[in-house]
Amino acid sequence: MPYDPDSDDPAIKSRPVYHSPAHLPPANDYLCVIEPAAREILSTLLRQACYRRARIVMSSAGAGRETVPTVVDRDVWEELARRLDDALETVTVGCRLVVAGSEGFLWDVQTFALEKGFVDEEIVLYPVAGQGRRVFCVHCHTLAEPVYVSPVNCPNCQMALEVRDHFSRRLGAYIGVRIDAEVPSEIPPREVLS
Amino acid sequence: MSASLSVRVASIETITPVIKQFTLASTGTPLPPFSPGSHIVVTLPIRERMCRNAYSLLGDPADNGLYHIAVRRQDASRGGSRYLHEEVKVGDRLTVSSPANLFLPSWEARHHLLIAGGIGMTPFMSYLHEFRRRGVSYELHCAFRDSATGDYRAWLEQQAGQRLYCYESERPDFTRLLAEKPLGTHVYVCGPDAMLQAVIAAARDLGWGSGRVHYEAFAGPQPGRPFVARLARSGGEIAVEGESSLLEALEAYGVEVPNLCRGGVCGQCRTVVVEGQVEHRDSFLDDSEKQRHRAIMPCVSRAQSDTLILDL
Amino acid sequence: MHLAPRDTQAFRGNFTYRNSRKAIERFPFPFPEDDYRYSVNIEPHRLPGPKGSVYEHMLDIDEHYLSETAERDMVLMQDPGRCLAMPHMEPACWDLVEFVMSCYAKDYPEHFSFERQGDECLWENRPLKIQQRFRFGDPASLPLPPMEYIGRQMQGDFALLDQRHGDLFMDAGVITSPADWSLAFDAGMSFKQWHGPVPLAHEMGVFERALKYLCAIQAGGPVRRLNWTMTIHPRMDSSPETYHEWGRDRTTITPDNVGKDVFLRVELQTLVRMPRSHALFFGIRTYLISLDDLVTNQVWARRLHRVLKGLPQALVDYKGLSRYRGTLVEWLSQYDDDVEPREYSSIGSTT
Repeated sequence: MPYDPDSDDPAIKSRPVYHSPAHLPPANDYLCVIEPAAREILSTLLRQACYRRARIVMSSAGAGRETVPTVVDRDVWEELARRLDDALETVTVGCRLVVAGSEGFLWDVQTFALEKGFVDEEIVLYPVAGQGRRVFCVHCHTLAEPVYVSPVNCPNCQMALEVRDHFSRRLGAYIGVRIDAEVPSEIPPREVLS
Repeated sequence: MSASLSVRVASIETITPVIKQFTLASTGTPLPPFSPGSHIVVTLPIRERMCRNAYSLLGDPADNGLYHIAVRRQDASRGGSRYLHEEVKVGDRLTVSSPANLFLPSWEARHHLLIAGGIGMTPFMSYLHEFRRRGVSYELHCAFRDSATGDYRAWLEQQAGQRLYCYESERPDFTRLLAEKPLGTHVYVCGPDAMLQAVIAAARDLGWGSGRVHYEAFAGPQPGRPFVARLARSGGEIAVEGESSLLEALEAYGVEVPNLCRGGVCGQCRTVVVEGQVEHRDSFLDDSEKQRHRAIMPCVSRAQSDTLILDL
Repeated sequence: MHLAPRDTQAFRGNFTYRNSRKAIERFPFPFPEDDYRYSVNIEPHRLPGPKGSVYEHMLDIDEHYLSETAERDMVLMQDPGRCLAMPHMEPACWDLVEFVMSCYAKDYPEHFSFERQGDECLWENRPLKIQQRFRFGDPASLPLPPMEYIGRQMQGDFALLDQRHGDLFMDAGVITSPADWSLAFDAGMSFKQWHGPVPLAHEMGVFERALKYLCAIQAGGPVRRLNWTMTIHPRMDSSPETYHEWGRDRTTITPDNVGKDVFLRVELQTLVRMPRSHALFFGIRTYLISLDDLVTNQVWARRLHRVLKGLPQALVDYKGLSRYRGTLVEWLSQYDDDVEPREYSSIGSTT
């Protein structure tokens, strides 16, 4: 499990810190679930690993990945989930799950995998940099991505949201809360998110 | 820390020549319901000192009225099991803790693989009631040391049917048991330490994440060399007898130390050591902590030196 | 016990909420010292507590019961997502039903009764005029899912925490009066994760120790603690979801309306082991008192002044007090004669 809850990182404690190892943990069987942007990372990792079997399931998203914050399209995920279900039919305990892609994607796969019977220690997460954040608008409960700056307008309800660092693994998203609730139109300058 | 209950011994059954089952009833307010895998800590007044031993509740969690525990008579012990076998009679009152649970089934598992060594089957007996109610998938492997296994084996056969595998002389091949298990399988093992270690090692070698390996040790405190415990903060001095655990001596003296398993695994009773060499017998502290001798698990561990100064 | 004023009072709109003299006297004032410090301020919830106090019974019901259950109805109508139970929490939800019905019937027999023969149950809630026969464990025998059914009849928010892997997970709850946190977002989080936004406490190891303590709670050994913040107007639903409705109120405080419009908000948090599911009930019972009412107790007035004056900026910001802290401290200073503080006393005070 890459997240280290005892990390000394001064940032908010619910925000994941990824300890993606330089080499894959040893295993006889790998199931790799990636977004297209993570192809190279995976190739490198697999080249260095010693394994009996590795299967790769790649999301069809990423190729036409949005550039402005857009309501998350669950159809893409549903399609991948069906293919993952097929791949999992022949997985037995001892398999290592390797996930690589944008942050929201990592946690979508992790949440799905835990439901299907993996445990935390059997999953390794590799975030691909520069993919932006997924944001949960707390007012209309909509997920949007990619978000690169704060504040951002919710693409569903249009509210100006402050993107905070409080993170939900279940949603793979950061919480967005109305930025000018106290003094309307008192909106701080845009800040690029790390 | 633990809520206390006063119970009456309602019946005592001989299951095998070395195992007796005690049925405990309430003396007033109904006994609290419990979750499968729970244990109670029984206080046994052995001469002037208190001996406290943990026993799994083996009955149906949905049946509140009574608690059932099975006690295996251990010869090389501090006398707790001997006291229960020889001294306790039907109608006697005992003080027990409220049920605690460090061995709850992982309900997210899709298949439960249970491995029991001898009396270690008792927590699984409470599991089976709940498993049947929830319709979950499981298999139970029991290694019986003695061929006389009494009514428990018959009951297990009746409950588990084809899901029960019994081993008498040979020990199960854990690697074979754990290989190629469907995703979502969790393994639970309860029995002697050697069996626990063997299963844990086999699981690790096959790549099982530690989150799907669950175990409950049947170790309790063992007798040792007497020593003196000094309390740095309150200034007290306690003579810890060979047959008493440090935790029991502290409790008899009136010091309340948080505790739950009384077997060196849960970490609740961790106490800071100011001075002295600890004889570590627990499975909680890591190697560096053990080497530093600045912490002790008083429920099972003792002193190498004659005196131990505690931050109490 | 006087359960309700004749008209149900409002926690929104024209805010007709008022505390009686008795309610003011039993208010759980949370500051044992002039200096507010984070600590693992958990203590055993020893029952029965001091008579007439908020700690007397396992679950406290007071004169605002009907007002609060009516308020909950309104919130759930607007936002049903404030009531959430993940499927694997069903056994815990039934533990909850038994727990609440037993406690309410035992401690407030003039208002509630609960009879059980095997699995056949009869529940009566006289203030809400409810009489319900049902079969324990059978969801089809109740008009609503079990947690929602009893949740709508409880005073105070609660979460049901699933205990696994030595950690606690927020997998169910009814949260209609949160102090600025979202169940819809926090659902599924672990103990340290949902406490993520709290400043300073993580570095102090507060949550590490608290988690260990909470995981060891056994049936028969409930614990409790107090949490506090401030709210403008007696607004129960101060959720992030509705922040755009109440956020502005923070800018409306002047020296003239502090006493009337600023409220001390205290949560009595009660943690109880649910015996069959091994889940942990986490009750969050909210008490509101206007500053005008609070300062009728001289000791409280003086202490609150000192606590707010010395509060670190990180906490001021986190608790949302930044805009009006200055005005508030200034107003409170009139009640502080700078004399050495005495030990405060009120019904059922705790250290």
